[in-house]
Amino acid sequence: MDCTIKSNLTAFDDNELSDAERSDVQSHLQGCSDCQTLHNQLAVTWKALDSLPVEEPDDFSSVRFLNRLKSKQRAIPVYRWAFAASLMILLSAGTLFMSRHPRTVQETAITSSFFPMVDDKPSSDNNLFEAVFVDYPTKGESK
Amino acid sequence: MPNADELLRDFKEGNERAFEELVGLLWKPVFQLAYRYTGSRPEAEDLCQETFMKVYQHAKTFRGDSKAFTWVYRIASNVCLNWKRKKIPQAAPPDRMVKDNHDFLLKLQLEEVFGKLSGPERILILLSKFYGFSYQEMGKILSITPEKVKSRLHEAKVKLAKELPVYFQKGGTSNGLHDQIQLNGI
Repeated sequence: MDCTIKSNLTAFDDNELSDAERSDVQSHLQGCSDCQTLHNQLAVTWKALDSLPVEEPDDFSSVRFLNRLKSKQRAIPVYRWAFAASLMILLSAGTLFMSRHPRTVQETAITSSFFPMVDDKPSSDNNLFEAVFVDYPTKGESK
Repeated sequence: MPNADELLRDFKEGNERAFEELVGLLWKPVFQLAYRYTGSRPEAEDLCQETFMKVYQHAKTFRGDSKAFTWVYRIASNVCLNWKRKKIPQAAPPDRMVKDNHDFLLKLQLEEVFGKLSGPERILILLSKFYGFSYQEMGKILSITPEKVKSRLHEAKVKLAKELPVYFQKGGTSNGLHDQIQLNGI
């Protein structure tokens, strides 16, 4: 049995051989009953695959997919807005917190100019502020 | 009517409508590939959706060095190869068995035998049989050489032929399939 010829039988049927290879297979098949049998078996098997069940897709399955895709695209900007809004709220809260609890006189002056409504007078209970005020001299004042 | 290459190119340039047309063009053949591969309609729909989601997400990476058709089938084949069966396929309803006894048994045996092939073997058989891809195109789809396609496709066909005994107990001829079944007493 010529193994090279056998391995070329599928390519022979699929027209994927060169002219020379095709000619070799053709002439070999005329004289070899084993290869003829295999060739016939392969042809019947190939034909049998026509019986593999096949179904049509649901008429609206592609439409449903596209609608779902569009919904996802619309949802993304909402998430971005939500993220941006959360960030703004956090920044505002952080700045407000800092304005109520300034760490230096310079920072207090800065926050006062942005938030004039904030009571920047130190409370009598705010010992930390008083300590800072004492330690950090204002402009023009030498230590 | 624009072809798949033009639609994919237009979509890459930002035309969303082109993607919708591409889906319209290729949904059915991709679905049928997935259905023949899995044997299950719901699984085939899932795989089809996954395929086109990947096409949508990765269209910008398509370099155009192959046809759009080949590229989409490459994605579909990879999606199928990565698929894991979620549930056991249901048996056919009894009335179908009574009406189409011979055909039903033939299809049942064929499905069972086809299911025994490996994933890549099944994909090769399907692409060759039902989509007419050349060995070179199948090589691009599966990232193997055309020589590998030739040898693996032949091995898959031989394996199928050996697993379908109903045709070959009498030596195997290309007579009608029903004749073969009747000869074997089914």
